[in-house]
Amino acid sequence: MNGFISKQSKQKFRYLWVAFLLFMLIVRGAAAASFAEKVSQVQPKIVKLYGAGGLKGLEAYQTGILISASGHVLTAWSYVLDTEGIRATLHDGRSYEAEVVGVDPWLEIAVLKISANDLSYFALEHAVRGQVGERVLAFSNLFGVATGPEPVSVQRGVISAVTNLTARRGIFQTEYDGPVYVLDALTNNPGAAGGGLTDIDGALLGLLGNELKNRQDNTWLNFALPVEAIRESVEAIIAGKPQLPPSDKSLRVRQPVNLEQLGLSLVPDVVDATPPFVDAVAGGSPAAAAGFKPDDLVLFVGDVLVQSITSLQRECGRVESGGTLRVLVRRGEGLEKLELETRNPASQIGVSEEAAR
Amino acid sequence: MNLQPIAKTIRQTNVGVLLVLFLLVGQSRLELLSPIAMFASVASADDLPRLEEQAIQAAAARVADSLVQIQCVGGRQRVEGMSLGDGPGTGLIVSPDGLILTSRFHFAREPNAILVTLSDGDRLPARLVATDRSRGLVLLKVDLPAKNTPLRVPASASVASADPGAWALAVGRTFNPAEVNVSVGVISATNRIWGKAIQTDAKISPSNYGGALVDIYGRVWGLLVPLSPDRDGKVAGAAWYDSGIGFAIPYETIRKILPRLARGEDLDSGFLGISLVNEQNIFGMVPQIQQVHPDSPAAEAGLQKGDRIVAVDRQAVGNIAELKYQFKPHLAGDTVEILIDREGKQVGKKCILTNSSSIAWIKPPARQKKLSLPGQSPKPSKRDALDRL
Repeated sequence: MNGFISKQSKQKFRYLWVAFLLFMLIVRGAAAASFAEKVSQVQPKIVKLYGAGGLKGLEAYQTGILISASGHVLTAWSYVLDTEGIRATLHDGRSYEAEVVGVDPWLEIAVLKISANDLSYFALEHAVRGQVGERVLAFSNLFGVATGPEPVSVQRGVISAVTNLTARRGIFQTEYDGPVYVLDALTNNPGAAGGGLTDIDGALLGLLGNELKNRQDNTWLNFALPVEAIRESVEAIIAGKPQLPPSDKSLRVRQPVNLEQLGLSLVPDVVDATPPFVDAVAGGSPAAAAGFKPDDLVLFVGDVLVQSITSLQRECGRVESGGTLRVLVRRGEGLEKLELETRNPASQIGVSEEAAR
Repeated sequence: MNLQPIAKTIRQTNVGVLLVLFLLVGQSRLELLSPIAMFASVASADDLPRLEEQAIQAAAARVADSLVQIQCVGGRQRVEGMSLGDGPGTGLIVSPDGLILTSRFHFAREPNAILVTLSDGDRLPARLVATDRSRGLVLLKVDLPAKNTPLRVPASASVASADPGAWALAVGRTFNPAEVNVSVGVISATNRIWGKAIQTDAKISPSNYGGALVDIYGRVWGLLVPLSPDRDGKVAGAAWYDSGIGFAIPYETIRKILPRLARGEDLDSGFLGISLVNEQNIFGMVPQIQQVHPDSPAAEAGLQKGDRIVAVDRQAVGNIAELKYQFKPHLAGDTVEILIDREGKQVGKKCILTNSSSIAWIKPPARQKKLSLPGQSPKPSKRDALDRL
C-alpha cells in the first residue's frame, strides 16, 4: 500500500516535471528569438558601400556603419572611397549617393554622408568596451555576397586579445599602432572593412579594419578598432576639424641617442637581422660607466625588445638624448639591467665650438 | 568565485540535454538528478550566451598563470620556404622549477637568445634543453631567482575526456604579455596525425603555438603545435593556421616524454628502415616489404623483402594506414614487436627503432610513367620521400 502511494505520487511528480520542462523549453525558445532580434536591430545600422576598384584583386565594395540619424556613415579609409559617386545601400535596398566628409589617414577611417533622415544608427557615445573572451558579433558585406536589397552578413566570435596593432600592408608598416580588438573569427575579408563589431546585445564595440598582416608572425589579422580609439577623431571630422596624426609629434626627435658616440660599438651588421652584440666599449665613456661589456647582447631598450642591430638603431633614433636609457642585456646565461646616461652631444659640440672661438 | 558550477550549467543546457532529462523522467530515475541544479540550469537558459562567456573567461584565467611569453633574438628570416615573423610565442610551464614546454615552430629561426616573460611580468633568460622532432616540441629551462615562488604547473585533463564536440579553448600569451589571448572552438577529433594529436576547430596559429588547449574548466588537454599528416619539418603544418584544423599534443604524452627531454635528450620519430609495396595505396592490402634498408633496425631484426606485416605491438594491421597508426607515435629508441607472415608462417620480430638520419635510405626505383585517370590511387609525389617507415 505504502509502495503504491509513493508510486502514484512519483507519477504526479513526473507529470509536474514534464510540464515544468516544457515551460522551460518555451523560455529557451524565447531566449533564442531575442538573440535573433538583437541581430535584426543591428542590421539597419549597417550599409553596403560601392565605389572604386573592380580590377584584379581590388574589390569595389566595402561596409560602413550609420552613426547619425541624418546619414553619417563611418567606414574604413581605402581606395574604394577614391572616386566620385560612392553608393551606400541600406539593409532594405534603399540606395543613396555618399559624399566623403573627411578622413583620418592615421586611423584609416573615413566619414561619409548620405542625404536621408530618421535612420537607425549607433550612437558612438553609447559604445561599449570589450574584453578578452567576450562573445561578439561582426556585421559586414564580406566578399560582397549581399548583392540585393538584403542586410549584410553576421558572424559570431570572441575577442581574442586587446592589444596594440603591429601590422603591415604588403611590405609597409601601418601608421596606426594603437589599441585594437583581435578577433577569434575570420572577419577581415575583402569587403568587410568598415563593418560593425558589437557585443551580443547589439551594442557597438568597434569598426572592422582593413585587411592587414600581423607584422609579428606574418599571419592575416582579424581585428576591429575600438570605438574609444576613434570617437574623438570621428567627431572632429564631422565638426570639420580633422586632427593631425599624433605620430607626427612623437616622431620628431631633435637629438636621437647615438650609441657609437656614447662609446658603445656593436658587431658589424653583416647578415639579415644581425643580433645586437656589443663589440667594444670605449674606456671612460658613458657606455663603460653604465657597465656594458664586450659580448653583451642587447635585448631591450626601455620596454621595447630589439631583435637586430637595425631595430636597436631604429629604437635609439626615437629616444631624445640627455636622459637615462634603461637597457637590458644578456651576459652569459644571465640578464643585466644597465642604465646608460645619454648626455646631449649638441651641448658638447656647443662647448667645443665656444672653446675654438 | 567558483565558476565550475556555471561551466557545468552550460554543459547541461547544451543541445540534447533536455531530451536526456525527459528520458530520465520517463524512467522515473529522478533521484539521479539534483532538482535544484536542474532548476538553475534551465532557468538560466535565458542568459546562456553570457554564462558561456563567463565560463570561457574563467577557463582562460585558470590556465593563465601557467602560460609564458617567449621572445627570440636573432636568427634566420626564412625557414623551409616560409617567411617567419620575429614576434613572440607562448610556452607552458611544466615544472615548478622552471621547465617550459613550447612549440618547435618558434625556434625554426635558430635564435641567438631566448627570453621568457612570466605572467607577473618577470623576464628571465631561457636555454633550450631538448627538442622532440616527432611531435614538434621544444623544452626550455629558466633559472628562477632564489626569491621567486615556484612556477604554477597547470591542471590537466585526459584525452579520454576530450569528446568531439566538447568546448575547447586555445590559450596563448602572444599579443600582450600581461594578458592571455583566447580562441574558442570544440574538440574535432582525437588520435589524429597517426595517433599523435588532438584536433580542434579553435583557431591555431603562431599566436598560440606553444600555448594550451584547455577544456571549459581550464584544464590542459594538450600543447598547441603545427602538425602535418604527411610532412615533417620545423614549420610543417603552419600553412594550416586559422583554418579550423589545429592540433595539440596530449598532456598524457607530454608527461611520458618529459623526463627524457629534461635530461637533454632530443627525441626523433622512430624508423624501421623499410619501404613497402604500393606505398601510395594506404588503404589497400596487408603491408608487404618492398625493400629493407641496410644497417637499419629492420635489417638487424632480420626482416626481408616480401615479408607481410600482420601485427605491430600485438595489434593486427590490415593495411598501410593501420600500420602507420601503430607505428608513427613511436620514438627512436623504442622497441616495437612486429609480427610478419613469411610464406605462410608467422614470425615475431623485435626491432629497436632508430632515427631516420642513421638509416642508409635507398632511392626507390624510378617509376614507369603511366597515364593516370581521375579516381585512380593518388600519384606519388615528393612528400612520399618524407613519409617513411
